[in-house]
This record gives sequence, C-alpha cells and structure tokens, in this order.
Amino acid sequence: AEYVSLTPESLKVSTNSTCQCLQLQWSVHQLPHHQELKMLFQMEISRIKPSNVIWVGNYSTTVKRDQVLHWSWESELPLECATHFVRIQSRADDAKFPELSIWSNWSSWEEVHVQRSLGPNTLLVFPKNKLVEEGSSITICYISGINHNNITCYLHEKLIHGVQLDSNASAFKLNNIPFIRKSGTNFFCEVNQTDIKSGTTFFVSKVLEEPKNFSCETQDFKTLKCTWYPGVDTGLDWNMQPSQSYTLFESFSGKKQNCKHKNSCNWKITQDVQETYNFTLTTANYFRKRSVNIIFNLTHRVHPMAPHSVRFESIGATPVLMSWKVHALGNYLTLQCQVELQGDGKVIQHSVDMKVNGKLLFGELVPGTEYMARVRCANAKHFWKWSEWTVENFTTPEAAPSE
Amino acid sequence: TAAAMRGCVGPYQHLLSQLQRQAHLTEDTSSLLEPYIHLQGLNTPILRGSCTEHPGAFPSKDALRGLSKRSFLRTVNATLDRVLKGLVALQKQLLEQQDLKELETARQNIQGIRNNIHCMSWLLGGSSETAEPMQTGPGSWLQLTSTLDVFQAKLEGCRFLRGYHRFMGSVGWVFREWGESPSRSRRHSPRRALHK
Repeated sequence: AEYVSLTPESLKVSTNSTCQCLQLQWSVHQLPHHQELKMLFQMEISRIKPSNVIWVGNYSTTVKRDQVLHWSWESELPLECATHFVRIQSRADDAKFPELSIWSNWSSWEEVHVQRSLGPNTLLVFPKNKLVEEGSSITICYISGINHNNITCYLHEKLIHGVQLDSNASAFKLNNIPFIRKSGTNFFCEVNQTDIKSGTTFFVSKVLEEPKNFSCETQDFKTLKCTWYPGVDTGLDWNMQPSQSYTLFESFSGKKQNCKHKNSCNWKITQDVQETYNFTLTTANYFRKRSVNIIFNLTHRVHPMAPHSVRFESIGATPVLMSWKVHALGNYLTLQCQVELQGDGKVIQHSVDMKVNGKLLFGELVPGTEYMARVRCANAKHFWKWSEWTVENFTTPEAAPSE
Repeated sequence: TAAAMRGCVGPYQHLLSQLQRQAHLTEDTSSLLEPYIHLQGLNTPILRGSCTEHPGAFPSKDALRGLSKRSFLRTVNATLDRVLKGLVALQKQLLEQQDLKELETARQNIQGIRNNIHCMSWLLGGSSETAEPMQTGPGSWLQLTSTLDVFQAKLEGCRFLRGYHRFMGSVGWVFREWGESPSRSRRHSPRRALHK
C-alpha cells in the first residue's frame, strides 16, 4: 500500500498567563471528504531554543477534514520568563487505514513570546498572585535587563538562589510549599545598591479536610440540625480563595442546600414525614471536594428540648406530686425521663415514661426541708441524647404541731 | 447641621486638647502600620525600605501650617474622609476583619477626630464642609482593583498607611501651635505656598 502522511497545518499557539498554558489549535486539511479518522498527534515543546526540547506528548482524537483541533499544555515555568517553541506531527490511529499509519512531517516550529520589552533597568518577577495548595510546588522566575550577579532574591525573608535560564531570566523551583499566612508569601528581588525591586505574592491554600463528627438531630420534628467539625479554614486574604463551602444533599428527597455556617446547617423537615434520611455533606474549595455521608431514621435522632412547667403539689403532710411537660414531638413519641431529687443529704433517682405530661409522686419527704429536683428526658424507644436538665427547688411544708 | 452640633461639648481649650490627643494617638505607627506590615509579611529590611509615603499623597506639614484655621480644619476633614475610604479598601482584602482589628479601631478614631473637627469649625464660626479644602498633590491614592498585583498592592497599602501616620503627626503639630483662644495662634501664619 502506498503510504500517505497527513501533516497538521495552520498551527496557531496562544498563551494564558493565569494558568501558564500554551493553547494550540490546528487542522488536517488532506483528509478525504466525509471521512472521520481516529488520529494520533505528537507534540514537542522546547524552551529558549528549538533544540532544547523539554516536553513530548501524544494526543489521540477523531478528526474530520478541516476540523479545528484544540489542545492545551500547562507550563510549570511562567510563560513570561522564556520563549517557547511548539511543533506537531500526526498519523492515523485506525487499523482500517494502514497506509495512513506513518508519522507525518513535523509542522514548522511555532515560536511563542510573552516576554515584555526589557529595558536596562527592568526587573520583573512572575507569576503574579499564583494560588497553589500546601505541599505542592511552584516555579518563580524573573526577567531583567540587568546582570544576574547584581540581583538578589528573597523568599519571605530568606535569601534564595535560582537557576539561570538565559542571560535575562532566572528560575526558582520551590517544592513542598508550606502555608505561612493568609495574606500570601512574598518573593522579591532587588538590584544590589539600587532602589530597583520587584516581587510577587503567591498564595498557599491549606489542604481541605474532610468534615468530622457529622451528625444530624431534631428537637421538634420540624427541623433537622446537622453539625460537624469543619477542620482548617482554607480561606485566603486578597479575595484569592473564600473559605470552603458546605453543601447538604439528601438523596431520598433529592434536595440540596447551601449551608451558611461552616459547622452547622438546619434542614426543614417537610410535611410528608420522611422516615429515613441519607445525607451527604460536601465541602469544596478551589482545589478539592470532600464528602461525608450518613443514613439514619428520624426517630433515632431525637434530642428533646428540656422539660418545662415543672410544678410541685403537696398532698397531705409529706408526699409531693411533681409534674412537668415536654414540647410536643411528632406523633407524641414516648419519652423516658430521669428525675433526681436532692435534699436532706440524700439523692433519690427515678425513671418515668411519658408522652406530653410527666408526673411523679415523692412520699416520705422531710417536712420543712428545701429540696432540689431536676428532670431530663430522652426518646424511650431509640435513645439518642438526653435533653438538658431542668432544675427547680421547693420546700416541704412544716409538719403540723402534734396535739 | 444643628442636630450634629448639639453633640459638641466643651469649651475651645477642651476640644483643642482632645484633638491634640487624638492626633497623637493616630500618629503612632504601632496603632496600624506595624500590625499591617506583620500581617502582610512585609517585615523585612528591604520591604520596609519600599514602604515610603507617596510624595504628595497627603498634605505636607508646611502646607498645613500655612493654612488658616478654618481651611486647615476643612483640609484635615476632607483628607480623613479619603483615608476612611482607603481603610475600607484595605479591610475588603481581609478574609476576616478581626485579623487586623486595628483597622476598625483606626476607622473609629478617625470618625471621632472628624466629629471634633466639626465642633471646632462650629466654634470658629465656620463649617468643615463648605469651602473646597486644599487638594492633595498628584500623589497616587490607594487604588486596590481586582486585577491588581497583590505584592504591589501590599506595598501600596503600606505606603498609604505610612503617609496617613505622618499626616496625623503633622496635624498634631499644627494643633499644638494653636493658641489658648480661638482667635489667637502661637505663630501668626500668613497664607504660604501650599506644597513643600
């Protein structure tokens, strides 16, 4: 079979300084009409001069005739600090067309400049306002019309030495970067014995942590209160990164809610009381998403409010009837209440089951004595948490004088 | 306004000594500039060296001394209005305001000074608003746009605060030259050129 090569044509390269990306676009004009072909493209990227190839890689895609193809490459070195060169070659990647499977000629080198005009006193540091995650690496560089020997650079406060790229540029590769402060880490250079200085601030985001101790409970069957321990706040100053966001998603209802607070979120329990809840709490910042999940039955997560309207009624000489109420809970759940009575040097404990109104009769109390009673309640059937204690004092009446 | 003036208390001497005290407080760089320098990581000899006042951003001491009392009060009031805007711009760059509590304290102090300046103007029979105050020079004012180079913006914020403290020192100096009574001044000050 006679071999035919399909050379990539109309190669254009643009740059994006923020992401330090070279953005390529090209076409393959010689493809037969109405033909779709699976093709493999190989890219070579050089820096400073074409012969200095720093990266080779492949890209596979299905191509139509004259279709404009796009591909992007991220440079670890800020594009301002060196001229880059790009070329591309291609071949068919389709067994049906063996005759097209040989590599084409390379396209011509495309030269990419971001570099500004360098005056004699120019000193520029890049990148600007870079945001990286703690533990990752960053390459900072400067370009200058001044002799390297007269330029000194500092990271934060420490003197730092770089690698000379060419007569106008030097690069500093910083690995395993620590978080220092929310307002960013300063890197700056100065020209010795002059006022010429230039610098940049890069921002190190702490690594987003998975929320811990995620749990939800209800006190009234109207609202579920979810709480968690958020871990570190990954927010940064200068509007570089807001504090991480928190979102609640409930899969049975399909509802989602953004949480205003970083450690709690209230979820409205709708009328058609749903028994089981499957919550996913997701936190996100610019680098990561983390999720935690819990499934529970609503009645297993009841945390009653503290009892109220505690009353004491003397019945005869010493017996005292204690009564209390609890806030209505769904379809009148059965609650188990603990009652403690302290007085006369003794502590008496009782357990009482109830729905809305609780009662307990204390007999054989000492007349004319001050007592402290406290009561708390929990779901009798599925214990989750005790309510807070409600405490009330009372004094038994004096004994009637013996005739 | 009459309602605002009702808040004015005390005789001229009391008001003047209060203004002198307030100027002295706000002149102190440890009240705001130093905490800002540490927060922004500018606490190195080289970066401190870059933290110099922009020429012309704030009225010079000589310029202030050459003004009549009323014009001086108007100029200070107008300049402090712009300082407040600058402090708000700086505050917006913080993730949490309590990271630099001194900023909020400075805003409150400045508000207090401006209130007293209103009272002093009223005592002197004028207003601190009406006539056009002396314009500051071409020096740049604090511009913190979203496309800013943060490193440059940090230095700009530092230079702005450096100027603010120096300006308050100059204001305090002029207040200390004011005499015991509204009409007299320790140094007669014919109107002089407005810039250094």
